[in-house]
Amino acid sequence: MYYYEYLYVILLLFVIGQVFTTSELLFLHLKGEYSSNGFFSWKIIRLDINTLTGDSRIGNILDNLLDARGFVKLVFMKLACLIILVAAAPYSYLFTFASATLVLCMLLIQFRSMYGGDGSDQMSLILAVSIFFGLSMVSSPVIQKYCFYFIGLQSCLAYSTSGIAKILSKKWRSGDAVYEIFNTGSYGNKTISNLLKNKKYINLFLCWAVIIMEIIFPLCLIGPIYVSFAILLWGFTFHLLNVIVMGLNSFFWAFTATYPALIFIMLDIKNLI
Amino acid sequence: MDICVAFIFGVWLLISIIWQFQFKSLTTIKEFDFIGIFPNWTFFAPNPGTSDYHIVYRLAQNDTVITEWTEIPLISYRTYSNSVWNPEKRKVKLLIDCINALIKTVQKCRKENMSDLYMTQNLCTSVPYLLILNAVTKFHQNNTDKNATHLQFTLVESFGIGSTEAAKPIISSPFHRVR
Repeated sequence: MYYYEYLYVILLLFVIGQVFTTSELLFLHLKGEYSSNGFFSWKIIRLDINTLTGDSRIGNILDNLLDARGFVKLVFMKLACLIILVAAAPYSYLFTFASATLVLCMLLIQFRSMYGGDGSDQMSLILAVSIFFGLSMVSSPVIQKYCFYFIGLQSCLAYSTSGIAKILSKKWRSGDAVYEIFNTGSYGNKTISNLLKNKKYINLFLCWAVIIMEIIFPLCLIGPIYVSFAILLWGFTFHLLNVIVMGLNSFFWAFTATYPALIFIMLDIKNLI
Repeated sequence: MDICVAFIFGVWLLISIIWQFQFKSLTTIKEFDFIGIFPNWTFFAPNPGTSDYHIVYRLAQNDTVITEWTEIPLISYRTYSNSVWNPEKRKVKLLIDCINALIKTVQKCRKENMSDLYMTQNLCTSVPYLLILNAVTKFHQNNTDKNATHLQFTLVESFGIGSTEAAKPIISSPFHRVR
């Protein structure tokens, strides 16, 4: 596969995930949650940056961009950019313009989501910036390689940090964490929590499987090819289960979109050796 | 251009690595990353979210409480459609973020030996508190007694679907005028 093909798979996975995420934002907007008396009121969130922007010109620009009316325009602009990215030819003016605008929209929407945003938004921003540099007019084979390494290393950092943080936690080490998370209404699932209730050894296995697999995840870059693909298969299954059990749909698309970059690095390192 | 991109990615990755450490000196700097460019990848760890947060409120007319506590429905049982479409998760995450921020504010106030009055002032003027008050006010206006003049909310923590442990209040607001 050529560099371009890897990047295009990343682009497709990214776009699918972002279409769902963006339509969710649009739905919340239609329910009035981004209006001045909604859950995500800009009038209130803005107070956090008042000391920085005050009544300055930047503050006024942000008000126009991020109040309810500005926000919905941003969301539509993001959707339009996503469609253009799939329809337009990579390396063209149109693709460059759409990908740059998309990054800008995502930065503003993420800024607006300083409360209520999550890690999938941050990984998506990393992907969007990489797609801009990798498939726009500024791109070159060297830059594309940088993009793969940047995405892949951020992905490995995410998994291993998460694994290390879990091994430091008593609840994870004792095997209580998985059941207790699945037993919540926020991120859990009644059926699964009933299945796991009083199953000490299964819970212990699940907790340690997550801890170990997350910590060793970066090995997929340097391990034997079958080990590497086994780790990626685990990652894919892990996110799929998180989607079904926990409703973390955006994480599935954001993190599996990093896998083509991981495969690229894996093969690149093997070629070097 | 190649060097420029290498520099951007290199700095971004380096700061992302540093960002994962919980140094005290980093905490203040992290607060200025409003956009969240630099991620903190410690999902559900070291303290996994093993409880649910709820918002309940009651109404008063002048000095008399006129309603029982009412819960704002935020948490619903997972359906398979949530696998594809789950907009409500952002509201739940907002509530979790707000409550964590409020708890941090309380801890900071206690550490600085602030008086209760000053701590209440600090809490009631914070963005997370105002976001919750705003949500409660909106829900009240759409759903409940229009004659009420004041509103009080309480944030409650419960401990799982099948738990027998009693839910406990985290923070109770004073009564706020609603009209």
